[in-house]
Amino acid sequence: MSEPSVLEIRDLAKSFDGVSVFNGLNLRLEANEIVAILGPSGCGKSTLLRCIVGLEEADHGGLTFASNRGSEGVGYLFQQPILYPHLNVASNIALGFKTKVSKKERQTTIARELNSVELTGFETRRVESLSGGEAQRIALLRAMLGQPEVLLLDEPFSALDLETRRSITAQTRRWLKQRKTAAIHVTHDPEEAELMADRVVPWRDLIHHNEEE
Amino acid sequence: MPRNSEIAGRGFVVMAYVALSSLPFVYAMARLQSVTGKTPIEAFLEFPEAYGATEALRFTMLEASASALLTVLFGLPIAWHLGRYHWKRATMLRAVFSVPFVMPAIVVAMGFLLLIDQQSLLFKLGLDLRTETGVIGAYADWTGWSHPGHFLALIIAHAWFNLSLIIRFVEPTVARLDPAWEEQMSLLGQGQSTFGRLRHLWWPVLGPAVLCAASLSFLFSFTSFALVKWLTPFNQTLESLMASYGGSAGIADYRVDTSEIVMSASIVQFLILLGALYLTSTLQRRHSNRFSLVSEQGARATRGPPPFKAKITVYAGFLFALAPMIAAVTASFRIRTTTGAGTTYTWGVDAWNAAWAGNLSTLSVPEALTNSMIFAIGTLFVALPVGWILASTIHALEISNNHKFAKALDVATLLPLAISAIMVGLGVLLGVLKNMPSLFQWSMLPILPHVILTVPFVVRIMLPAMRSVDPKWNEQASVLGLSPLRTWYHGYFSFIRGPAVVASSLTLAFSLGEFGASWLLVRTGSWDTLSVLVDTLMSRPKFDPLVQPTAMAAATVLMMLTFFLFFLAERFRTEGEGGGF
Repeated sequence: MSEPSVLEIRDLAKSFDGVSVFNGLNLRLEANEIVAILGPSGCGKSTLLRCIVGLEEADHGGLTFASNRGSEGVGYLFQQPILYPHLNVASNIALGFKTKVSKKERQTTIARELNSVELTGFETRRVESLSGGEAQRIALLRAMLGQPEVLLLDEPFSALDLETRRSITAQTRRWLKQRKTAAIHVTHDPEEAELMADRVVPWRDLIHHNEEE
Repeated sequence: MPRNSEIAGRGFVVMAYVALSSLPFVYAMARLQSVTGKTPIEAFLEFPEAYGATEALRFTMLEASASALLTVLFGLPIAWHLGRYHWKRATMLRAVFSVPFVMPAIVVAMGFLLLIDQQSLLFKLGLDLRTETGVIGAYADWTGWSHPGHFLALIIAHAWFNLSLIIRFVEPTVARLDPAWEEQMSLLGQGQSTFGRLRHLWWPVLGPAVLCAASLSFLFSFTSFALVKWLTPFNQTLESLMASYGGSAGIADYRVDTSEIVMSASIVQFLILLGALYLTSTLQRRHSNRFSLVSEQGARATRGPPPFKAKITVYAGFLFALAPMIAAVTASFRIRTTTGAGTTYTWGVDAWNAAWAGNLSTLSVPEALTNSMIFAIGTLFVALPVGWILASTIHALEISNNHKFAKALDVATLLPLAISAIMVGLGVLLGVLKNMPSLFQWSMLPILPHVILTVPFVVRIMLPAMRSVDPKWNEQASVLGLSPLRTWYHGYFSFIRGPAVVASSLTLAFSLGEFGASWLLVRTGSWDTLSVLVDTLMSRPKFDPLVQPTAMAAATVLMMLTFFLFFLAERFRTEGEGGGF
């Protein structure tokens, strides 16, 4: 018996001011699977992710999560890492805890997680002092602290230089696989999509496929 | 690198301003010291023994704290909704919310007296704040608190007065915060609940602005005089205590006790206000440029038109802001007729005709308006460049890492707000004019205190704007081969043009509405300003039924002018610019 999908999107549609962004969109995300959606800027990839996580309301269609946490079990990584400047690195990461944890446990967890992304000792650093790659890794750590069933990545590495982008993409993939977390990664970069995903779905094909149906 | 001549110029302006703003206080202190024979420290230590001083301090702290709290409670929901959504008439709404702050206190006091009198809606609803019968009277009997109605009326009037502070500080931040920050927080574990978002996002973002506005609100309520005098006649604040005794203070060998009280009270007041100003300055620095701000229009567009709850909140605030003004305007058309059968009221423009014509003892409104405009424009020509230079000097010190000097100068520019108007008056009369009596003959003398009073606000508006200009714009303009003037214009000035217009409007409005110093220093009736005219008319016996409506007609002209200035400022406010005020 095959594993159930962690997320199933059926016949999803979204429009803004009467202009359709997408219509009849279907997608299944299997457990531990990483799907990359490949498409040009402005095609509606980010809107799709925003509908999945609940930041936008779809016009019609359905989202079925395997977990009863629903969209609360979804983590999100924005295009630009959003780290709050009034907090240091450790406090920014701590925002990701879903439940109240003791100070000691919090410190231990954060130190371990920072170590896992080769940012050991960054706890007290100001976020303004981080490079783009470091900031995005911190944002990734924070998103993963809530132990999401699905992680949505909205072109999070697009602003990084090529070398850093390749390295962080590979590292993120390893990380997601170790933690058995399913992910949808949207990007306009075919190389990044191939490097990251188990399955690459071009946006146009996704829409075309739905139109054929 | 700044040139030596520029450094010398800045230094001169800074020293001249600090000297000008502190001299009245220093002179007054020197005079009181010579009369009482006590040092300021001795006077400070003897404060608890000064007659009525402890009670006045207790009441002042209570009313100022309660007023600041009420200002936040009233203003924060309005600022929040106003900043969050796309309002069709945002410019007009902002102008209306800004007008109370620059209304002459005496006009406000009259407006509030009209709102709580026995013809008012509040009275008809059973809330008799003025004569304290009904619920308020029962509450007073039950608690033993004398005159809770007066206290309530005072703190509501202060909240009305200071409403624009909280809106001006908080609304631009709410409007410009990148919506992605809020979205990100709502997706994180600690941001799932309203309390979590409040604790981890909204309080760090808005807290300094709220506290800064509360601190300024405390300060203005602390030094409020006209409202205290008219709305809580049975209580003294430190300011009204000093006013009561100020008339007989500073005169050698005559009522030394009053000089002692004024000296003690002014030192205590100065120290408390200095603390509040230090807090304000620190909080405002924290408030500037901490978070990722985006285009105001973009952020508003993301959130769309206001929902019903937001409309109710903002329009209720709008009515609250307009109520005393509507009361004053209405009163200008309402003429009392007393006959043997009783008192009736009729509607007419008689008072407006009287106000426009003037008479032998008072100026006409056009004449007073002309005087006010002359003083206001004179004030603007001095206060704007001085405030600009002070703000740019503070900013230059900050970016060259001279933070201690920057902070000291920042607090120094606020000093005039910490000095009681009574002390300024005493200082000018007893000190400055004693040494330079020819100044008495100078009809433009009121410009001097108006400049002292308005420069702190110019600095408060320009400084955050200067801090927010990214130097890359100037660098970009300079590498394009533009002339120094065009580089300055495109790389710097165009970003702070909006705040400069706001500062100019505020300076004009403040000068137009200023009452205390003008009243003290205008020596001949022919130089009366509009606010002095209102006071002169209101101080007359009211048996003539046209007295109060004529005063209200003059007050209405002043209000309309103030409103127009703020409306103009809002039109020029560049996108996303909130300024420190």
